Amino acid sequence: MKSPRPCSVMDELIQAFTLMFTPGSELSQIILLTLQMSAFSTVISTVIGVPLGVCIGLYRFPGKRLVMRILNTLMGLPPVLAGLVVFFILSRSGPLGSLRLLYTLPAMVTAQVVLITPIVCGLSATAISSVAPLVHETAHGMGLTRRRELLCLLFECRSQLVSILFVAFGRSIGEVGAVMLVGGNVQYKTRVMTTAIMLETNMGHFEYAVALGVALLVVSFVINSIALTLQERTSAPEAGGARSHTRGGKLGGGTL
Amino acid sequence: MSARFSITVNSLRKDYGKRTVLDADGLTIESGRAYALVGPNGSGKSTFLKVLSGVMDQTSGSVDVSGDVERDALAVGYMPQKSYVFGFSVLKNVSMVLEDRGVNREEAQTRALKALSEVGMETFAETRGSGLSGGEAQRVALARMLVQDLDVLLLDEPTASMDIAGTLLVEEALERYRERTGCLLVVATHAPSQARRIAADTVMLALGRIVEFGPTERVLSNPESPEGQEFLSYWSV
Repeated sequence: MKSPRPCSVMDELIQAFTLMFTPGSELSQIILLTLQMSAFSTVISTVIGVPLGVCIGLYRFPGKRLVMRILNTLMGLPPVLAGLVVFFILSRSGPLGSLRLLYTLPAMVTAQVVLITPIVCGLSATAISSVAPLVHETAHGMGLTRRRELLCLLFECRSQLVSILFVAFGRSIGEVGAVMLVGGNVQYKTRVMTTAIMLETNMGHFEYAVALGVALLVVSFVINSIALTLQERTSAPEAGGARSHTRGGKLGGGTL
Repeated sequence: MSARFSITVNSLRKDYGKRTVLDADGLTIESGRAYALVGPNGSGKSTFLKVLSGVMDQTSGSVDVSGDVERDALAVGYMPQKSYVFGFSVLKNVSMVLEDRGVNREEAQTRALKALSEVGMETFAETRGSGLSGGEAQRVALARMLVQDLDVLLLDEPTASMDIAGTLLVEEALERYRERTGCLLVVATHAPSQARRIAADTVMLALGRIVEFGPTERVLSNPESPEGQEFLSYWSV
């Protein structure tokens, strides 16, 4: 991947950043693939994890404590283990082997989703459950519909939920173990920033590996900055839907 | 003007685990009147209002309604002790109560501004709810109640974080609202002086039980129960 060896980290950095903005270069292709993988896995994890986390945080149900314990355990799931599980499922003899997804981008995204969804779900549940009782009491007292109450709750938790997205994206873009296992670090196909750094380090190209690491941090910084700016522009929620009562709430204490 | 009705509390009990925090019986309150709910900390005032408002289910007993209106048709507003004001604008906080019920945005905002002016908060209309002080937040929470046309208004220490000027302003707004709508108003308060100002009748709770009920002046001047006498003795210090 790397041509003539420059002499210092600064030279390597300059080379890395030049290559980043050179269309068609291997490095720009690696960055694009890294962003694709991180974006897909963050979006999928959010679509699954946030609603699940909201339900767990909002409702009481038998076994909730057990569910939270399992979630907390999965939040610390070792990436290599997640990669191994996905590897077995997608390998030729595995249940989904016929799909021939191993060593492809979808396989890497799947491994990331397995890793990140419990984090998104667990953090969302914690964020929601800390605010939900206050919001429920207030919304009930105002006679708001459940739909509006839910929107208000999500609005009140927006900062935490956006932070959770950052955590998910950060975890995804920096992941190496699971991605290496199911992606295989195949050149021009499944090589991402982290696996490229591993490869360069193993080949003794330390300066170039450091330069790639800095490039990875810069990419992550730019994306986080854009997302934060968007977060600051969030506005009030709108709600429609069925109305349960034309005015006020309902009297409690009915005959049991 | 609201319909005429009365609410009767029958053996209403609420337990937290093995601890009974509310055990109220034989209380009838009527529409068009203001009631003060007094008692020391832990006497069950908040729990009583939460059960009445339906925020919390009782362990046993019932709250029955009689009069010109069906129980499910009663519009009940409840303002909790810790008023939560949502992070969007103060105006939106108040107007969304009406928008949620199909009132068009313009009319909702006009009525919201009127309710805010009732509690002296009209100049804060565009301020974000998250930037308010405790007293301001309570006034906004109260405006969210006053903007509605309620039959029953339950307020849990609505002026706890306000200065005396704010307190008097809010008390006047409540009095005007009750006269205009004919609603049943119940206000939980620590202060006998506030009970005297706002309510013709007072309910006193101690350890979850109703120990006094009657005209405010009688309850607060000559309580019959030892618990009532003890509670009021602290206010004469």
